[in-house]
Amino acid sequence: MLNSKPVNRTFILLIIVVAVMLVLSLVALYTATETYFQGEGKTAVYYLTLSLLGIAISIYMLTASRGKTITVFEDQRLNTILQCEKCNFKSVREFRKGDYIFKRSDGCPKCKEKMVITAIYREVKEEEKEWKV
Amino acid sequence: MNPAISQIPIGDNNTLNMILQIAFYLFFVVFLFYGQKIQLYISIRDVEKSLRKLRYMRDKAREIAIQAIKEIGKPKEDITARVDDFLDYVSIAPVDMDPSGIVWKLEHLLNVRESRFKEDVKLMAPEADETQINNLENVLEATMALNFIYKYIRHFYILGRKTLSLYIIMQLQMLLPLIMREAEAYTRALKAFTMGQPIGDGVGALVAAKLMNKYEKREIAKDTVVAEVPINGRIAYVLKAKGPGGNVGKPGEGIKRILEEKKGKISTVIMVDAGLKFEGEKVGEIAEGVGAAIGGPGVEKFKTEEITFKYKVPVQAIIVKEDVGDAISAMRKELIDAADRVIERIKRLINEKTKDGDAVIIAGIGNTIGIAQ
Ligand SMILES: [Zn+2]
Repeated sequence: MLNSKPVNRTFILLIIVVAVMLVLSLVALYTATETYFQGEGKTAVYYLTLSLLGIAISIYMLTASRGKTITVFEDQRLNTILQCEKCNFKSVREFRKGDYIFKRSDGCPKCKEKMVITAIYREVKEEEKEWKV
Repeated sequence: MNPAISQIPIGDNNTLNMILQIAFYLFFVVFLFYGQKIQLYISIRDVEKSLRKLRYMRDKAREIAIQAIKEIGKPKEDITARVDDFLDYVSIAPVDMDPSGIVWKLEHLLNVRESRFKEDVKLMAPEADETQINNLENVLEATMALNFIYKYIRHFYILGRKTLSLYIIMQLQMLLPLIMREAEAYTRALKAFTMGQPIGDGVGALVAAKLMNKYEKREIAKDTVVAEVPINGRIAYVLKAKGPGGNVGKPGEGIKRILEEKKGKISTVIMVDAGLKFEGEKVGEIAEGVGAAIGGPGVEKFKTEEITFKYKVPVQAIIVKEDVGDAISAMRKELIDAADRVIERIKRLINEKTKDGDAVIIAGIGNTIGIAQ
């Protein structure tokens, strides 16, 4: 449905740019070691910085273009709380389709009376990050 | 110099230096003249990624909706084309150049829309009962919202690509995080609607349901029920949308009719609703205040304000805080717990603001899906 050709072309361009930059960085790294062993410390540092910078930029460009996976549409676990109006017996079970709050559902195991659904909820496990401000 | 090293051709420092220098200048020139273009393509890729995600969400939502209709409604023919038509349904807002009386026009439009939706859903799902039809309607509305978001973003994306305008694309890119959050909320809503689970928005309805559960109810307005509940020596007219189907009812109309029945002899109206929290606030926090606590297109809010103004009845608001995602996905435990605390607040408010023998209205606002009364 989407015409995505030009973007694919830029993606190839991006790969080429990254590749060229990586090659140049590696060459610079090689030169850095070479000059270091020749005793030219200052030049070696210059090439080393250049090469590390090049590698860092290439890694950034590659990771920035990676996509994320889609995690919505997952099934959520829901709890249904039932309470017996006669003896106050409480029970928890997993949500079943057709449950709703104040529905008379399963029988009470103690007095065989129909129990009432008093709550349906999901528990959020991972605590939200607290921002200390 | 070590002869072995000097024989490697690129090991020649001068040549390499020159290559690096030229590369450096080249990058400089490219960024100077094409910096914005590069920025544009990076932004376009970013938007496109989100757009793909939105398309996936829309397609999946459509699939879920069709499956739910087939499962519940047992249609005799293929409903795919019908659902697709439904997703592009438009409602044209009334003209607002002369705004006087626009609320009634809007109400009429919303009524027509709703009955048309219900009829269409009934045709698609002939074997569904009333509750299921309401739930399916909600499912379709969530799918419609996802469809709209996808088409809207796609529109500006293509426009941006056509004009190669950095500003169109960048505006889109800036808004996308918020839009994606909303779209994700709708996908979660879909799940809750297909299963008929109570949602966060229903916390007001839950409070009302808890208050009126043991008492006799009657229908006061379309899809809206009321019960007379004695609380601390006062009579409370507790009203909510009729559950457990997905429904918001007409609480404004309900409040109006009760006030008219009682000829304005109501000492206070208390409205309980879910409200958007600020980032940093906790889910289930309760805030009190004054004014009509009700969202939506504004018709019910308008009616509440009109009638309480006419009879000079104060309106108290109790808001339970939650975010967009919580409001339309399955109810969180914090909100169930908040409902009990809201009931305590209501009792305290009634004790403080009214006298023995007074009558009050307590309106639980919100979508009552998964909550009976
Ligand atoms: Zn029992």
